Amino acid sequence: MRALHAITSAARVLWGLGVLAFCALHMAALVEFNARPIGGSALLARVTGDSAAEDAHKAAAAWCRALGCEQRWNMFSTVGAWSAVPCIVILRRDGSRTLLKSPQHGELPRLAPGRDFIGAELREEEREWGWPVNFLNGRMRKLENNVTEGATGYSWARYNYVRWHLRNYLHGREQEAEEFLRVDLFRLHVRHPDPDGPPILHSVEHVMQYDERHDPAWPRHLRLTRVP
Amino acid sequence: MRLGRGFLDFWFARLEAEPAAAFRVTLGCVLMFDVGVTFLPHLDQWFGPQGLYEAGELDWWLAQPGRWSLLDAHSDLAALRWAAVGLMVAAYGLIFGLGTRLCALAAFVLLTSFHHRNPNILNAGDILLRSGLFYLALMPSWRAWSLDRLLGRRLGWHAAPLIKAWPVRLAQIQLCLLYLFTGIEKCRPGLEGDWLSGDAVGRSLRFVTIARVDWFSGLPLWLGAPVTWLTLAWELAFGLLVLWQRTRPAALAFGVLVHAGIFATMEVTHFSFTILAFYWLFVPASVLMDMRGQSSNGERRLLRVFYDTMCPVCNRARRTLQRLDWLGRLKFEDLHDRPLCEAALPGVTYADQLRAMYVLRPDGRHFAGFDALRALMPVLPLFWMLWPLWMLAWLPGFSHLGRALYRYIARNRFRYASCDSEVCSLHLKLLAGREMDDEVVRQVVALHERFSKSRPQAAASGS
Repeated sequence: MRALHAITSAARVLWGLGVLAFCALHMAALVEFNARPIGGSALLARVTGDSAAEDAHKAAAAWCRALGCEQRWNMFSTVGAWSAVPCIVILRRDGSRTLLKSPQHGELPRLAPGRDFIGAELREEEREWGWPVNFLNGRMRKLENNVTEGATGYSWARYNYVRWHLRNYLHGREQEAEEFLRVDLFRLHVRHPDPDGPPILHSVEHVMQYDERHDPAWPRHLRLTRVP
Repeated sequence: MRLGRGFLDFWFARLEAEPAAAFRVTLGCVLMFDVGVTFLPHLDQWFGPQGLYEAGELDWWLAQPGRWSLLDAHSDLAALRWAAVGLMVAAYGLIFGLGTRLCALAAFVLLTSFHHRNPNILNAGDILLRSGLFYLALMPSWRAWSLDRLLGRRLGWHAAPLIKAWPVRLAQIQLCLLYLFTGIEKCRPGLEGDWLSGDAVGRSLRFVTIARVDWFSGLPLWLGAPVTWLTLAWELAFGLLVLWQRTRPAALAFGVLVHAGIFATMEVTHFSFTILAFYWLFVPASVLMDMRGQSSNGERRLLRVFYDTMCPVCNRARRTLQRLDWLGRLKFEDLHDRPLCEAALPGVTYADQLRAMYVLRPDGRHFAGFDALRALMPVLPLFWMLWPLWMLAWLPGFSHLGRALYRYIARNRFRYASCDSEVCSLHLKLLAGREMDDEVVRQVVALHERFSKSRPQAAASGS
């Protein structure tokens, strides 16, 4: 009986130590993962050396990923006065364009009907950006933010994004693909409103041309025509 | 020695299970909403093999150390549907507490699998939900408010409604780190609209792709500066504020208002609800039991309200409270019943009670005046609906104002009263703005004797 009690006590102590070790590791990983961008890794490197600090970061990152805690907490840390919204432009052989706009794409209220603004010079008064009501579009907003934010973010998602939109557009009208001259992804820079005025479409920036020959996932039976 | 004991208590003490149960139910509701509204209708598009990512396209990303997903690149739509159904079942399991531990684990595994199938559509709230489910899988949250517990009891297995502290501590620390690092990040001067300049909140409200509507875009930016700085200071200090019992309610109340504000003005999917789910882990179990009206052991919980039956203002307040007590959680007591009061509120004098209403919680804690009204809020369903008001009552400025207002009204109650008897007017005159010395108390006792004789039945029933 006494032996059983001793074994139980030892098991409890061991379990407690295991739990404490797990908690310590978990907290250390969370702190390392989050402190890195704010100078934590430099501090660690000064103490342990560069290679040990790098190893520590790799281990912390793997730990956080495995346990689903790999978010870097910097919510709304830089709000900024600009947004970027993607826009896919299909140019056809006959010179007409189709804009596959994002759901976040505000209208241009003062734009004359039928006027195609991508690639065209806009007059100042035509740049007013209609505010889209943002409700239950958070996931699309995040995707498009990842697609449009600079080269560092999820820029690898751009190809997928364009292909995804194109495929949805061509669903049921595959023959239209033959008429496509080129497909481009643009980034629309929108300046947020200030007390003196509404949001403004400030500039349009070309991001990339979509070329299905470089996209192994593009359905082969859909053939886009390109600039010769 | 004491430090070591405190350390072990912090990690291994047994805590009441109600906060963990509230955490579980809230996360279950968020998961149900998330899967039902943002996943299921777009399952094919977001995660399907013909959707945003073709089979195998994310293999390189998934190959990073630590990443994993049950829904590998070749999972077909049927597998995705089954996984989504599994998530919904797990969400219901969490809400009702059926197969709770298994549901928490399944929810964590399936949600992570979905998340790693398309990382481009994830917001901060998604990762927080995922990590919340991980902590939930570690804690036996079924020990309160669950069908598991009910079934166990039917089968004759009575589990104590207590849980080990360490998984709760991990989740609490996660939340504190979240705020701390966000605060530190915000202190770095950056782009236009940074936090130190005070522009950030104003700029967020005019963020075209996030702010819900453009109602605030015409307001000057400086108007948001106080809220910006206050929010930044609160984020940086959150960990310390919740550590100290006295500042914890204010820190949580401010957080609830901030996140409710974010949800009302910005489209950030379920982020606000998910982060607020973590708040339950900081709320005393007694408050949750008061809200539910039942202790862990199944006993009915009643809050006892001690008030002055001779004062018409107090009687009016009592009638109002009675009308708001839709769930029958209040028991009113006459403060002039001295043997009863002395037994229930030891250390509280007659004079103290004449100055303010007292509320006694089943756990033995008592509150006076404005604090008593605040303690009543968790049991009055109207305040569940008017929860911003409830939260405001905990903020430093508002609580000081509330206490001052209560004291003023209590001291001047004769001004607002319409007495129908001489005893009543004499009583109020006696209390009006005077120190409650022995002489006043003696006169009140004498008056109460007259009052009891004149209205024996009314006094006895406390009406």
